[in-house]
Amino acid sequence: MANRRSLLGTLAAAPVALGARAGVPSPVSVELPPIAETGNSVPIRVSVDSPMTANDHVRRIEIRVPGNPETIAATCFFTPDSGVAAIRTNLRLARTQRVTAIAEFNDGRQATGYADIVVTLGACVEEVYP
Amino acid sequence: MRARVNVPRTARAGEVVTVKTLVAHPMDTGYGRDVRGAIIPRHIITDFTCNYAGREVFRAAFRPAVAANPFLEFHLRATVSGPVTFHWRTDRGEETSVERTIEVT
Repeated sequence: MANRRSLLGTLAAAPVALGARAGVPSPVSVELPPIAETGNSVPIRVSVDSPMTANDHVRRIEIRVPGNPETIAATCFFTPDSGVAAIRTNLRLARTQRVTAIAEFNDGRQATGYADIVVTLGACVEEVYP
Repeated sequence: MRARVNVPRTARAGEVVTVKTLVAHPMDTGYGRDVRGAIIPRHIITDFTCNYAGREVFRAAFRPAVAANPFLEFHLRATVSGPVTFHWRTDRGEETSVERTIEVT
């Protein structure tokens, strides 16, 4: 289980690496169930607080799953006509991890949000990626 | 690759409506193996676009971490009556489209 322990260490260090600071709430919210019995299909909702006007809107949301063989899960591109910067989808998760969403605004600003999830049985990738 | 889409038939001008899409597709990651132990080659939907009122209003790029039979919910600001088109493409070039009409009152 040395593998799992090092992963938890990575999780603990992640908020600092991602620039999170106590007392500065992020406009990005990631909603995940706290525990998933299997990682095959895990519902996720990502929303960003933004007026979505021509001058102030979210251009892009990237969902990152660093515990999977490939870090990026999906990227969504928005326009002011999207009305709301929010999506729902289902993810495959290989293991217990911190899922992060990075939002990029039209002026180039970025913001991140995350949620931690415990995956009891990962999606079937262990044979190739131990 | 059959696709199902849920868009409200009518909306008030300026209203933000919710769109739900679901496509039947295995989303083979390229990491899985069959019963003989051979790797199942990657086969995923990579691109999704939504066009409305003559513009691309939403787009998404999927990677293998999106679950099989990809579900996606997003939003649109209803401005004019007309078609809303949805388009999916796989990494093997297969394509499928769905069109719905929204009436803005």
